[in-house]
Amino acid sequence: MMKWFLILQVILVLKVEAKVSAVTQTTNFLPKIRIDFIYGVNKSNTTVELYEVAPEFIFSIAKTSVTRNKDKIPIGSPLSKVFPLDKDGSKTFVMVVRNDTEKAKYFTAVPHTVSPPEASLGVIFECLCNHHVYEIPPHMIWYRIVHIELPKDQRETLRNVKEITLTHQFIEVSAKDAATKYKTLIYNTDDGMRK
Amino acid sequence: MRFFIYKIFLLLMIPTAGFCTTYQLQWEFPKELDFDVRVFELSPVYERKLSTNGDIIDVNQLTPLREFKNGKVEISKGGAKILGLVFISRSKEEADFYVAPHSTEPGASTLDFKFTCLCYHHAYHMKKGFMWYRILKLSDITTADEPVKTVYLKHKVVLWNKPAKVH
Repeated sequence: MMKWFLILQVILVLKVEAKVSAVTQTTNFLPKIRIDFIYGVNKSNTTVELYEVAPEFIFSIAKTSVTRNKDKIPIGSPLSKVFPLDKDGSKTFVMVVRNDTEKAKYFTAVPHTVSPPEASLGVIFECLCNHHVYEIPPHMIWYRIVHIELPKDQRETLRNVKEITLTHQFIEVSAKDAATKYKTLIYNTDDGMRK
Repeated sequence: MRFFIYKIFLLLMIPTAGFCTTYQLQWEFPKELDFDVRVFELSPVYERKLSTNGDIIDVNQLTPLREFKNGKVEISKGGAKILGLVFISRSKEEADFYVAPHSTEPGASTLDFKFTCLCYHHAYHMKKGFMWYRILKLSDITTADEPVKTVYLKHKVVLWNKPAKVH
């Protein structure tokens, strides 16, 4: 009798373990992220650079500012276009745009698209596409801290996905349009509200 | 008389010439989802029900003002329309689906409109034997002196094989 009980117990333990490992396999696997920008719209030659965030700014998501001083940007080492997520399935990084010209630059980003579309339910990307126009005064550097997250309970849809591509179209706005048509859409870096 | 003809001519021209922006709504479905899409203009009263979705048996339940054929929505400059988006399953079977964020072409027009649509991180359910609808709003924020254009807004719909655990 005792023997049968032991065998049953072993089978039960094995079954539970198999289940646990199946669950951890699906939730532990994290696809890589590719951040793409489509440039050249409106004949613009401005580009966006990606950097790791400085550790003390890891929770300052959506902090947006312009600075003249390179050392004041909360960035670490450069980040490649394709990168893996942190262990918790999220990543905070910084987008940087430089204006080396004598004139103010204005730009916006078209809401991002997700590829493959299946991955769209499982990705939360707090980025820069929020119907605003960003302003960079001459010889200044613009940056924004952004955050990407794959919520744990929604990773079921990402089972067969190895890489998620998030694409923004980068649109440079002319100074004339920024001063007239899109005047109310200019992002105020002081309080994050519209000017 | 000549003035009268001229007036009629002008009246006829109003809905088509230079005063409208065309928004072409495009849909891409996987082969498992055999859906028909219809887009209706609804009464502005429906603004109170913006972003709600539900199930209907007949499109007339939404009391549409008119239908935008082939997803071609024309909005006068600076105007807004409340849209009733209806998905009709040809197979009449139930299905779960979600929608990936839409692409915008041309991208440079992104600041010229606002679209409260359905690609907001939600999954939806098509009930067996019903049509599924959602109330959307599309606002044009261009002024009359800007050139006329067509904006293509494309959504990719995804079939969701819902895991048994999720409620």
